[in-house]
Amino acid sequence: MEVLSSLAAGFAVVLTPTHLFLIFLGCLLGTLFGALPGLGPINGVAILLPICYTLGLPVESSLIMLAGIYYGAEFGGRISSILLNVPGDAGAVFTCLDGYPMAQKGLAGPALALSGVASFIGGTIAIVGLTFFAPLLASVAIYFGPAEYFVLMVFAFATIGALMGSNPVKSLIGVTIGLIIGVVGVDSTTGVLRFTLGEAELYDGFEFLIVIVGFFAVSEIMLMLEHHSSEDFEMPKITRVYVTMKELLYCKWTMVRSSLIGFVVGTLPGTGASIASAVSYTIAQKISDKEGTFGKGDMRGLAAPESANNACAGGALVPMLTLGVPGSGTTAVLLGALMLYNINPGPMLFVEQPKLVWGLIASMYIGNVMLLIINFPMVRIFTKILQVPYWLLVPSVIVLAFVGVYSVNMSTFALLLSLILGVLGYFLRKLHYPMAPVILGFVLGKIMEDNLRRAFAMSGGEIGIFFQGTINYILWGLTLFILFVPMIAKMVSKRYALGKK
Amino acid sequence: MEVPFSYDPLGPTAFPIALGAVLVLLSLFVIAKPQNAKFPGLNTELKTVLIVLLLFVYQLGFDFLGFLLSTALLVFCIAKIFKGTTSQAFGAGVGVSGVVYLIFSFLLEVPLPVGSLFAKLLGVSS
Repeated sequence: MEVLSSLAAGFAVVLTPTHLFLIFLGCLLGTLFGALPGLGPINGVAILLPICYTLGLPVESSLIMLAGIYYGAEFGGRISSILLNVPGDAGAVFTCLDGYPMAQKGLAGPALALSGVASFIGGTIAIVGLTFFAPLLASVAIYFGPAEYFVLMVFAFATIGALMGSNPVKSLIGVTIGLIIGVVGVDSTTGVLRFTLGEAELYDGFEFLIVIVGFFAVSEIMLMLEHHSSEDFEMPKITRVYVTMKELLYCKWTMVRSSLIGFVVGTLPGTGASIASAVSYTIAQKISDKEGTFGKGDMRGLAAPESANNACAGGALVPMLTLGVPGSGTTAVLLGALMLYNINPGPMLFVEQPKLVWGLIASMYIGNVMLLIINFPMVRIFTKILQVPYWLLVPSVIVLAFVGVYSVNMSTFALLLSLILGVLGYFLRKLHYPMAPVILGFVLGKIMEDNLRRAFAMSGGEIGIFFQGTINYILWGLTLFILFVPMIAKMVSKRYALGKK
Repeated sequence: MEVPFSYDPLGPTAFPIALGAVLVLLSLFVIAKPQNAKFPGLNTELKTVLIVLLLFVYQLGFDFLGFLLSTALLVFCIAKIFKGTTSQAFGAGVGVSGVVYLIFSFLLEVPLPVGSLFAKLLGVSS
């Protein structure tokens, strides 16, 4: 049982007072970012990454804390969905459907408690999956050459196009824009400057922190002007903050099923919590909704998306740690964080950085238990935080983000770049371009181009190299399959509708 | 972009050109099937522009006014835009800039600019 001994080594890394504190801090901040409407895991990681970096934390400590923010935010997103009918982040949209009606019936407390347990179960199942599945995938991934890598990226972008957002064309445009932003700077093979407009500060390309702060902090506060302040909402009374065994048993299969769905969706490159929760809610409704109670405060309708979005966070780490291809927008940011520390993500990560990988996995076991524990007594405090007025929240967010960028770059030009990208991000978001593909494209662009050129250099310009070998066949097969998934899904649902009639 | 010799058959131009081509192709789909974007009312739009202007001025004045003063001013203005009262905005400005300054210069040991304006007034070189 090599896995278990590696995991034990991971726990040895994590079980220090500093790391336990960082996990706790990450989970706490994550819950906060998740709970605050408008701010999600990706904004939380984007704002706190520069601070982690300037703190001079070693890479495993940073990653442990940032990952805590990630899954903590999936935990916290449910709070404002249930209490205010405002999803705390994109993954919590489906939590509103049955969570808010429950709160209106006076069951706000049980709804919070049940969704907390559902999140815990989803998170835990996903980490167990990660523990056993990731090393397997990593052992296959070491056989990837440049050509296989390039085809893998093609597969990743096909998944994004097929599954993300309402409009696949816009998701793909997002990826392309990200790739183009990634091209700026010195070309690594020839040393030629590309698109730098003579600015010396652009020679190294757009720095990662500048891009994420622009896209996820600046554009976010511009959008916040349109949301209404949560002060206007009436907070429902919270009575008992626990669930009974009977209620839990009622939802047990929904939770297990949704966790598995969430994990699988999470492992697909580029698909985040929003897709995981949408799929699991739809399936739960189709299987369990016999009396038409879904959408009116059915407990299973609340448990399904909550288990799924937490499971998705664990699943999304699988391709990120084994292949260097992020499974979601937030893992794309985590991947960028690794690159910031000069760690090349990819199939060798498990071999070269066992402390980092297994420490992270072990920390997630602990973090999930911590989240479950802090969420029961502290749920009342979190609901108070929902009432933080925007006049304090918004300027604090932007100042923290800007100072973070400044402290890493020591130049105000970096702030200007963030602002420009923020305005670009604002328009993209207003025009319904999802942001996660952009960041994925940006993070993967360099790797994609390097592998493309390396593959061509190996084959002497022959394109045939991309169509050789078992791994390439499988990847192309998967790519074709994923492109047809939306069509198949449409056909199946049509059949289903006909059958019902 | 001309590279005299390279062992790399693609060179530095192929990938960006391919990306451009893909982008053009995809844009055609969007042009063929336009989707209406919803923008908020004029009032909110003006506020959005104002925020961008404020942030622009902020990064311009960052080195000159120094972190504390420029941040306090920025926070005050943004708090006012988000409907804080004058005293709330003032408190937020002083509070946020002070706390962030303390965190960064003492806890994280990141030097934030004192401001060349004050440096000149006090006769210290910054």
